[in-house]
Amino acid sequence: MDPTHATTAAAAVVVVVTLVLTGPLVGTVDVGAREDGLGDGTATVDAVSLAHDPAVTPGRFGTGVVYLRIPDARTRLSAVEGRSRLVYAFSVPALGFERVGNRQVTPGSPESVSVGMADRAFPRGQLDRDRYTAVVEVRIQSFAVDRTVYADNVTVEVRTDG
Amino acid sequence: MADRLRRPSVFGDPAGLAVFLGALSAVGATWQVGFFITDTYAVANALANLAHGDLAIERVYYSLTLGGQPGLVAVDGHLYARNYGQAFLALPLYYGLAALATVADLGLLLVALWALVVGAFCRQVGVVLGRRARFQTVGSVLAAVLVVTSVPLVDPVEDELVGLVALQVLSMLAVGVTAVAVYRSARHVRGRRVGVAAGAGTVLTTPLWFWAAVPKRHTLTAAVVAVLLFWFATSREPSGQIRLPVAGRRVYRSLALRVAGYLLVGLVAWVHAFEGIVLLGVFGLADLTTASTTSRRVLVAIAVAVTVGFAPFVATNVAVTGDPLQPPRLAPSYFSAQDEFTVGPEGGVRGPADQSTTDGEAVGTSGDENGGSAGEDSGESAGDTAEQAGDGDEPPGTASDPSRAPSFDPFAGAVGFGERVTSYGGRFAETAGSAPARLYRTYVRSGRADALTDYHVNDEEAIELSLLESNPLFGGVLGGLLAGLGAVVAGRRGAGGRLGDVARSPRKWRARVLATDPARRTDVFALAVVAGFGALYFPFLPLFSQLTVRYLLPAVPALVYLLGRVPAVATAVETRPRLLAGWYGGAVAAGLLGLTIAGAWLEPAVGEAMQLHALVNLAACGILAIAVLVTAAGADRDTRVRTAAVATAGAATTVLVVAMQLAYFEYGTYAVPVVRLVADAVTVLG
Repeated sequence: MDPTHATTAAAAVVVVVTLVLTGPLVGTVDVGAREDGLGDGTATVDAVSLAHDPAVTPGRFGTGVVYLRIPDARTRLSAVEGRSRLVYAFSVPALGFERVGNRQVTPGSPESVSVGMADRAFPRGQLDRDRYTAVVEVRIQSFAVDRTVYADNVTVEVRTDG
Repeated sequence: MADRLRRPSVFGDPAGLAVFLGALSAVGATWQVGFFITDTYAVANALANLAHGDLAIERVYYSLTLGGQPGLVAVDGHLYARNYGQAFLALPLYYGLAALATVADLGLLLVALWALVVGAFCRQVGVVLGRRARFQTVGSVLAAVLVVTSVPLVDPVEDELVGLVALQVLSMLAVGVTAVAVYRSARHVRGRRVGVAAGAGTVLTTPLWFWAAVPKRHTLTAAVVAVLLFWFATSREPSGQIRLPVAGRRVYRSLALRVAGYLLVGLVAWVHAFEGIVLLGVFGLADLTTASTTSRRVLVAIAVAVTVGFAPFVATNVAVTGDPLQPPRLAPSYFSAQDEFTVGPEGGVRGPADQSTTDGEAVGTSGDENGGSAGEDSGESAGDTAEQAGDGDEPPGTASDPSRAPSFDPFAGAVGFGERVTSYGGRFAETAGSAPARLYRTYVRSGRADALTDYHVNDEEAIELSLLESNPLFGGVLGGLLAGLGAVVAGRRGAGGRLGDVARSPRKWRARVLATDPARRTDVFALAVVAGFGALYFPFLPLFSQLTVRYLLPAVPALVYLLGRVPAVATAVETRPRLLAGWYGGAVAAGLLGLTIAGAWLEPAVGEAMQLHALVNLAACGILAIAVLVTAAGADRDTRVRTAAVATAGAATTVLVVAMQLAYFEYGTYAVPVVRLVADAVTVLG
């Protein structure tokens, strides 16, 4: 057998053996070690800050809407044990708007973790006030804990002129 | 011996196979296993039920509720999906994947299948370049490494998802077929270089790449259009005879291809009746007016082919609705009878037809439309349900929450076929008044068109791009058409005179048509396909959930073919292939880098990001159109500028499509873990 075909045959054998060893019939090797979801861990949140002041500004590039620009929540963590998650909730009750972002926290996480979420579009004209009050909440959550570490009201300025 | 070496292959030649494998490598790399558009639930459920021997949907495998599955219809107390062609075509893939999943983990199996394609692609590139041994060795090692390193990284894909996976694989194969067929058509009329560029460009530089893994009807129809185009092109020329596999008779190859085309059109009707009928009309008209023979025997053969081609469509209609001309799509929607159906804990459907066992027990419950998105493991959602699309970092996409993405199918509803045609005509007349605005928003500049589109379902995001914004390369076609028109007006070409002749003596018309270059006749067919689909969907566009005007995807292969027919573009590809490839690669790299920087700087919302692409792409489109016009005017003899314009326009779409798949619209589990790692690392949106 020429070396090219030998390599191809060897590669095919490797692939088939890998599939069978990890497959449901044999199953001696586990597939996908990625740990997802909640554990029963916990963490201490030392500090929470918002990346910028929330605001409503016009959409760019012809989107024809105004956007509620939701800042990332930046946190400083310590004493991380097991798997838990940071939950960041941002709501504007007067607009009936609420959005939640979350991020998994493990002992491998960096010391400062931010949680972001997408900006929210509103049709022009739906927002008739100059400012709204937003409720910001940050929690640490797992099957073992559910602790609010930050809760505050912040002002959302509407800057849609010009 | 020589015969065996040159035996006919569906790929045409080694480069054709390379185009096919390259297309599958690309679409497989960015493959997300998931439901992007909620309509897919009904078709996936139909497939899973078919696989278990039921035509009706007796058990719901995907989605927790019936309300979350637009496209379900209720007939005689049973539920059906509206599209069975797709489900039947995916059935062999379902069985194959289900069988393999008994010995291998489904998630890893998908990686292995993709790695196999990538390895084969490497080898095939080696064959084309005359260095098979080296490329095959590299490909083999690469495939093995990809599979082994994926073991600890791969995300689980539950065996129950095999129905969805089969539909996605069918759609990806269709895109591979589209690429090969465009390669062969372009090669047939303009040689191998233009062929390879057109075939590769069909996937890499059009939104077909994005829609490959979204198992809607569009990629299937696009594949049929591409194949018809190739058969049309080759059957306009004198050909030798071939032996039929049945009956052992010899027929002209061109006739066999024409007949096969009519057969194929019937299959489109099985998937979507109206697209099938439009395609039959366009193909029939173009074929009969430009073919060299239309003898009575030929017409009989065509009639038989149409009958046989439409047989699965008619049989399905009879089985579901009892009326050969009423496809499931036109049967009463599930929503009109939703109180009569319930779903049991195991997904078993109970409807009026099951009343004998549960007399009077069937009570409507399925008002809960927010429950959807089952089947697909949406990960963590314990405790926190946001008002909107779940996790905040999930872009407000088109699917995931059925209540927010109601299906809009212009051709659905419980009315007869004739009535539907009449109401379609009415709608056409109604919308004709707003034609300039509609056409502008659909084909040129999307932006926000409040009067024409409902943005509520997309969270107010202007994420639906126009045809030219998502396909800036077609600026080349536009430039070519304008240049042709200009030449006619200036009297340099005889088309105007020819039309005058036709008016004077219609009898000579046929002879004149047959005297034209066969490739020119194929151009007319390609233009007719574009016009046919444009007209079919005119009253409904612009529309939400289109992203890249997906309703017009079947016109994309025809437009890529036409692009290869524009002399300014074709000569650039022929004379500067290295510059084209190099500039394209460089522009993609620069575009992705620029996008990352722009993302960090501007922190755009998804609508802003899409509209930024739209503006950049429109600029690339305009530059290409101007370059083509300038060349046609004879002012530009240097091929470098227009080569760069072509490459830039193509790269602009590649950047858009890659960003859509890795950053803007994450709707499922990435089949290839390495790509998931990249997607996790990339942030463009603020």
